[in-house]
Amino acid sequence: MNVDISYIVWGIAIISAIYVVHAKDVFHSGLWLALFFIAIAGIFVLLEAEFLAVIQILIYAGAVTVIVLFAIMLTKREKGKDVLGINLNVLKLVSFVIFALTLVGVIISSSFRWVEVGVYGSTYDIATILFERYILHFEMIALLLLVALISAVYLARRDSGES
Amino acid sequence: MELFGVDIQALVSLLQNPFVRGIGGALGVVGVISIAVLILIWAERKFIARLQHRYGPNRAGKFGILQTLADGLKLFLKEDITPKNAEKITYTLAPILCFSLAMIPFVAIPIDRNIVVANLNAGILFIIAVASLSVIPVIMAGWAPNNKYNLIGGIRSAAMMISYEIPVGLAVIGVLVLSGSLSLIDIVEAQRRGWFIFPQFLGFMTFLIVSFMESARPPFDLPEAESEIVQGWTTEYSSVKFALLMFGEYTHAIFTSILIAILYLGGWLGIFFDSPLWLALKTLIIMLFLMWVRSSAVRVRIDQMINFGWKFLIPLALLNIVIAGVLRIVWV
Repeated sequence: MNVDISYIVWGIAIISAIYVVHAKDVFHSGLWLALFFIAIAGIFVLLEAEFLAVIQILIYAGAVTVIVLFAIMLTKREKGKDVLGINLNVLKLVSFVIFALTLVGVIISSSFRWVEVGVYGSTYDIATILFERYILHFEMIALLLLVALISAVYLARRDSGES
Repeated sequence: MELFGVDIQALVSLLQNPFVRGIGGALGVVGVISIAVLILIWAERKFIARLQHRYGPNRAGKFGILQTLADGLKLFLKEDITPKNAEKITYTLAPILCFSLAMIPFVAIPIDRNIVVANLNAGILFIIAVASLSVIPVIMAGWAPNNKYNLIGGIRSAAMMISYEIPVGLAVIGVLVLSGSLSLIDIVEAQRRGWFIFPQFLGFMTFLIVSFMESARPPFDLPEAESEIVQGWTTEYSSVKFALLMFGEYTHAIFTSILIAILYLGGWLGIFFDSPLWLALKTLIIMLFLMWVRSSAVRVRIDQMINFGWKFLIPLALLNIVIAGVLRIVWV
């Protein structure tokens, strides 16, 4: 039964990913993107990585998509072009085939192919790995974010001071 | 054991089946919350009326208690109008998503030590994540009908959401530091030594203020500010769709009240005995507080609100995390 659900979730993920590019309206692309992020969270749930799934929804579907939609709402309403239009020519076809072949080659030569269920585990496992093995990386990222935060505050302050 | 001719053992074993549990839990949550919303809307109108020296609804039923039901019925009988230039699918999807996303967080909320529909390990994170999704239908409702008032309401809602989401997360971190768990049941049980409202008072204040923003209630009802932008993001909606939008919006108030009762006021822990009744009582008290503020405070401007969120609430919540860390070392 789990297998069937995972096919459905993968199907939703792939279809929504296609529609992110396929949709004529940028706003609809944003909505499809939200659905895509939620489907990815569903895949995390099926891999028994509850924590990752929730963080996926919180950060990507909740925050990133809302900022994207917010930015789109501030723009003019326009009908865009369908990027996946079917006016194929030889050059496009050749580049498609080459890209697909490269992708297949990379997938075959890479060392991990199937994601195992339950390895990515619980909050506890993630915290243990993050704060013991990768503590230096974690601290570096924290420093980077701090720098970004301070510079954002600085830029915002100077901007409001001038106007 | 038998009760009313039904074998209880068989019923309990039936509940272990995930499919039955899911459907039953979902139906139970929607039913209970719907009835609670119907009663609370009536209570709110009555309460605010008394604060303003009016009688409030008093015609339908005893003390007008059937007023909300009558209003709902009236809305369902109205004509369902779709604007000509609206994007039909997005327009129709927004109320459905708004209603269902408002209901989903309740499945992870425990009302007693053993009574919860879905006992998740990362329960509090799940709830915050789904609550953060609930702004997407608002944005959809703002965009789809092709109306400027809807659009302004939707933009305001998105801007508000960006500014309150971070203080909420930071305020909850303080509770997590003190309780040492992401599970709501463990968080409540960790409050046996004392409710978190005392060591986490700044976090409690942050969460309480944010709960006004999250449920878009006065003084932060900017997305539907009637005196400025007609009816905000619900302007073009009518009939059943309008009812669903309003219903979903009102549910957020109950949801944040329950969350405050669980995170800061000890949930079902009471004075003489532990019971879900205590949780209901605490939720009601916070709901009454929300209504009280609604009738006494004036609406803030959008720039004031965003400044308040970023420049006041976030530093406050950060300070609260520092306090929580110190308390964790000294006290626990």
